[in-house]
Amino acid sequence: MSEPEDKLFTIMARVFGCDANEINLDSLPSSVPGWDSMAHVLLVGEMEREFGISFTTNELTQMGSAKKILEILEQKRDS
Amino acid sequence: MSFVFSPQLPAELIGLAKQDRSFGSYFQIYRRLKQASTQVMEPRNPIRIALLGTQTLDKLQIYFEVQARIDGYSPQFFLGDFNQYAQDMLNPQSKLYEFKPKIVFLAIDARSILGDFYDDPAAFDVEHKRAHLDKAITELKGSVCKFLSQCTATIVIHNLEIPALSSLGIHETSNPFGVRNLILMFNQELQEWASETEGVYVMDYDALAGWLGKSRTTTDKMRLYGRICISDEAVPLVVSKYMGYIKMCTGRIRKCIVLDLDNTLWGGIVGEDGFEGIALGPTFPGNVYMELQRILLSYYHRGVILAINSKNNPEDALKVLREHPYQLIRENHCAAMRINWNDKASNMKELAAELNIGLDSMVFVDDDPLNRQLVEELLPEVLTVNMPEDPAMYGRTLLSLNDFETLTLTQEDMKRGQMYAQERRRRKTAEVKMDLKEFMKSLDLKVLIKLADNFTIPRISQLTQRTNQFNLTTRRYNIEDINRLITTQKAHVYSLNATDRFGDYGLVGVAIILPEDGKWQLDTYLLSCRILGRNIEKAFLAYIAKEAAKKNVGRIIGSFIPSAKNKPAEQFFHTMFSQVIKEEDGTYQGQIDARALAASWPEEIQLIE
Repeated sequence: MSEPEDKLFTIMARVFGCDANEINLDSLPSSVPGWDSMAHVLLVGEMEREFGISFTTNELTQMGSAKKILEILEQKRDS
Repeated sequence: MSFVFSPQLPAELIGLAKQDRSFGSYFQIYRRLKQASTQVMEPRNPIRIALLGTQTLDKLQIYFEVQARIDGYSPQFFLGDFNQYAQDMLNPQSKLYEFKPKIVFLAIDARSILGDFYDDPAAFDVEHKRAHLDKAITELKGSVCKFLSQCTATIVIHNLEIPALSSLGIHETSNPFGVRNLILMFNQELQEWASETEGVYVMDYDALAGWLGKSRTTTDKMRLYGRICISDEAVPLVVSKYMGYIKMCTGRIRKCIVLDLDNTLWGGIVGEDGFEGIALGPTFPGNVYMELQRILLSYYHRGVILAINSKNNPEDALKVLREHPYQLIRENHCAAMRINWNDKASNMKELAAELNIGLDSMVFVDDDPLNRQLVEELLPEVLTVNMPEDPAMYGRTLLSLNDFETLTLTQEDMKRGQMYAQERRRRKTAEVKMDLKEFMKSLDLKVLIKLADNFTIPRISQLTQRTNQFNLTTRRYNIEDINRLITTQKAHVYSLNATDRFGDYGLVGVAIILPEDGKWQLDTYLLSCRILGRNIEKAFLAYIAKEAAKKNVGRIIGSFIPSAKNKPAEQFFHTMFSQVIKEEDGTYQGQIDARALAASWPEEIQLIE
């Protein structure tokens, strides 16, 4: 597991109130019970803080799954 | 109910919170708190809090819950739906009414209140804007009034933030119906209305935003994305303000600031640097300490007591207090002093005993981390202020405390600091004259006892809220409760004012009597601890007995409900009341023969009717 992936799953688990091993790349808002719209907003804030980044409006519209979020994180890291 | 100080969080989580007070840190604590399903903590100091507003408030609630638990509360929250505050408050069938909040925070924001012309004021004509504003204010007032007509709660309303940016540029301030002036009008009207309306307070959100910086108080992205108008950075500040209101309406008020001297009230160490060598005066760095002293005196003038706790040679320190030309806090501002070489925690306990206040009423200010640590560890009830390293920051640190919030700022409050200082002079008299009876006579003590009126009811209510020690039943009443007792239960509500040759104590005693057939029930009997030990407690009861006897009422029935703090009242109860029986719930019932007691007015006290 890559380092940002590990970290992302830990953050998601904390925000959604579940166990880190319940999160994987296929996780979707519909498949994780705690992933509602408010939790999603909290997740954005936590990711920005933990990774020390700021998402753009464009990026915010694309965060439909754990996989997509990880892609965005890796893009931001590489750029 | 008295407040038991103990955080409602496991110790390790408290430790985490102390290290990092950011939203992110509190959020992690919040999550762990919610996950710790096994926690068996007895809920203490429960409080029901409603958060309503024109924005998403979940983040505020998360931080608020953790902070309230750190401060010893067990909060329960009602989170209003987005922008539904008017509906919630206007509909008695709403979940808000069902929730019965003790306090309601209304986090409104300027964009929602002003609507579209917030962004483009020039597109609308003046009448339209004025009408819109009037409607918004009427709606807000109407909602709050409706709610208060059916529920007893404290309402705290954010005022509106004045935007720092405008397309009108330099003409913004000269345009009477630009956004800035519209908001100023709204805020002004809100403030005037609240100051006349019982139980309604305006929180100066605009000033708070300015303090942090308006560009940082709101993150536009999160506002547009999640309707979150208060940024993660601003949430702790808002919650700190909120906690001030919580402490206020639960009577959790600190009364006394205990000050160190060397390197706190002045720069340097007087014992080493000498009278002339300490930094204290109108130029830098002495002005740092003069300014701090002015701020401390502003607390004194709003009724906070000042006291000294210093490791020093008394003669060195007293010389500064008495003779230094730029020393502003003089001996007569200090209600008690401990200037010696004892440890500061022992001194603290002695000060509390001398002032007759609880350690949980005290705030400790000292530049020395070691002294602070000692007091913090040995006396956790005392609020030890985490002073910054730079003394230039002391002033703002003290002004940021939210622990002196009284329900109302009455004349009594403004005078209290002075009254405690007078008390020290009184005690000196008492120490010189060893004969207590002589002392009592020389005090020239006068009491004024009368039935409550509109002028005295606010203070009466305040006393029921915060008198802990000499209080037979510790029943807390707000102003509406008192009015209700008088009108529906035909209660006699007596107040007692006291003066002596040193000064005016103001209204310091309350007795509430519920008349029944042939007997009077003593529902409430309390005296401020400031005037205990002067036989006033007996005099007041003798007066009531005389009034009862006048109306051919033979018996006064009283009860004593033990609390954590009302031991002083217990002894009094057992002395005055006969045929005392202990009920199953731990309370005591007793009675008094009114005619017998009526004759026992203490001769050294003069009654003014």
